[in-house]
Amino acid sequence: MKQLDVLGVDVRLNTKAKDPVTLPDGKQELTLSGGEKIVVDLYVPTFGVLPNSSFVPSQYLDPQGFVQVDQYLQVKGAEGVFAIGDVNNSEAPQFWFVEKQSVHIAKNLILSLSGKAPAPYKASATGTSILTHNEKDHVLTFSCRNRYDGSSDWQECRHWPLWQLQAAKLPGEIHPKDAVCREPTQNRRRIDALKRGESQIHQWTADPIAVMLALLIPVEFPDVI
Amino acid sequence: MSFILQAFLDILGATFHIFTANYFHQPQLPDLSSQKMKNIVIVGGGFAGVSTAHRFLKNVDKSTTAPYKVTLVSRDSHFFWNIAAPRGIIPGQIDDDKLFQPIAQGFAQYGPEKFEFVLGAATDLDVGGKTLVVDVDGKATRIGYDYLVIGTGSRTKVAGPFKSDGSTEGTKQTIHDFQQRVKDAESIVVVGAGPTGVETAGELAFEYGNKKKIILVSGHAHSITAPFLTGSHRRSPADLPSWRIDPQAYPRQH
Repeated sequence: MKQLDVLGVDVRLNTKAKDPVTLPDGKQELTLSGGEKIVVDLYVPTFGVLPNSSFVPSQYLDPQGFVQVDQYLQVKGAEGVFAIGDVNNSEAPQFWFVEKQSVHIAKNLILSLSGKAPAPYKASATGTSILTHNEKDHVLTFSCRNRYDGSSDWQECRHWPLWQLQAAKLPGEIHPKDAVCREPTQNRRRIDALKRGESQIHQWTADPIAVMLALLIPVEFPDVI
Repeated sequence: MSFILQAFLDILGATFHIFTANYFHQPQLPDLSSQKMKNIVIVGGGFAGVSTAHRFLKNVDKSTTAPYKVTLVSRDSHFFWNIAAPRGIIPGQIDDDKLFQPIAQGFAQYGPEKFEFVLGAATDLDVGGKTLVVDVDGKATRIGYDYLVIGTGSRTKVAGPFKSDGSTEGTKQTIHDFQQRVKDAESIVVVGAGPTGVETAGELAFEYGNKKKIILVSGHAHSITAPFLTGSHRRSPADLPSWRIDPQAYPRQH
């Protein structure tokens, strides 16, 4: 928050904005979820993407329009057709995953051309991540949902670098002794608790830049804010 | 007549190998170069399509002699380096020729036998007939494939400057319009605090500081990414002070 003050950004969290209305003088008026109206000169929407899949027959698409692929990134039911990047339903539509899938498919094309069997693609478990706060033992847990197989099961994040953040102590919320174990398997019961609806969920999309930086920065949480 | 000659040579060859006890007989590698040429069609002129085509062409000849041709289909003549778009919308920060790179030029080294660039938008896919239909200058052009890679990416829900808007010219125009609007604006609201929103707000605030009012609206309790609003690429990690989490983002459940 301090950093934002330095740059002077006015951040409104937990706030939804309705589509703007253009006023007669060309300004944009947005109504925020609290009922507040803000009038600005320029509106920059950055949320959400839609797949560019209009040329693909609908039988190969999921309800959101993403191309459905199997573990070889091959379009389900379409021999010799592959889909990579934002347009498929494998991983979050982010650059990091586009890069990974591109590397993989280029290798597989070469294998196929050489008459060899292609290799399956291992989708990383960093689709949608959640931060859970278990009231009972005051533990924060990062979990994530893998879009890859379309399952809606929350999974442990074995490769999720933000495990480092789990030692987080939230002021007044987390007892210092309750640093979370870093072994994903030991968090299974917390994920179970989440499934039973006993935990509170905050949800956002994994940000690979944040993940990479999280590895570099020694994280220190102040006891009192 | 040629098959008689061929048969004669085969018998002669076989006889020769019998007499020489296969001493001159090389183990036969599968001769992939005599296979039918494979057409690899890649759709999409963004990261997915262009980088896959480059990766394939760069490495394929190291592994196999099988014949192939790559056809890259893109509605954009230029590759749009859209990762830089959050800064690209600020006037004078990034030149057009850095933000947009000609696609075909990057593949010139591979020659026309191995690579072809088709400027047009894919309009239909015939999976049974292994054919992609592309609108090239208003004409429906059918392109047959053995392998098809779909890498056509995504667009923002609300039209904006962060994704291709259908053609390079159109996208350039959108960026220029946005630069002008950023320049003229005294107040800007960025909605959505994903990587793009966070970076855009950071870039705008870094550039204009107190000269313009910058608001970032997030539907989530997104404070944990807040430290990255500082335009992290401009700073080394050591510059970032310890993280502070806003307790309001994690309310008690009592």
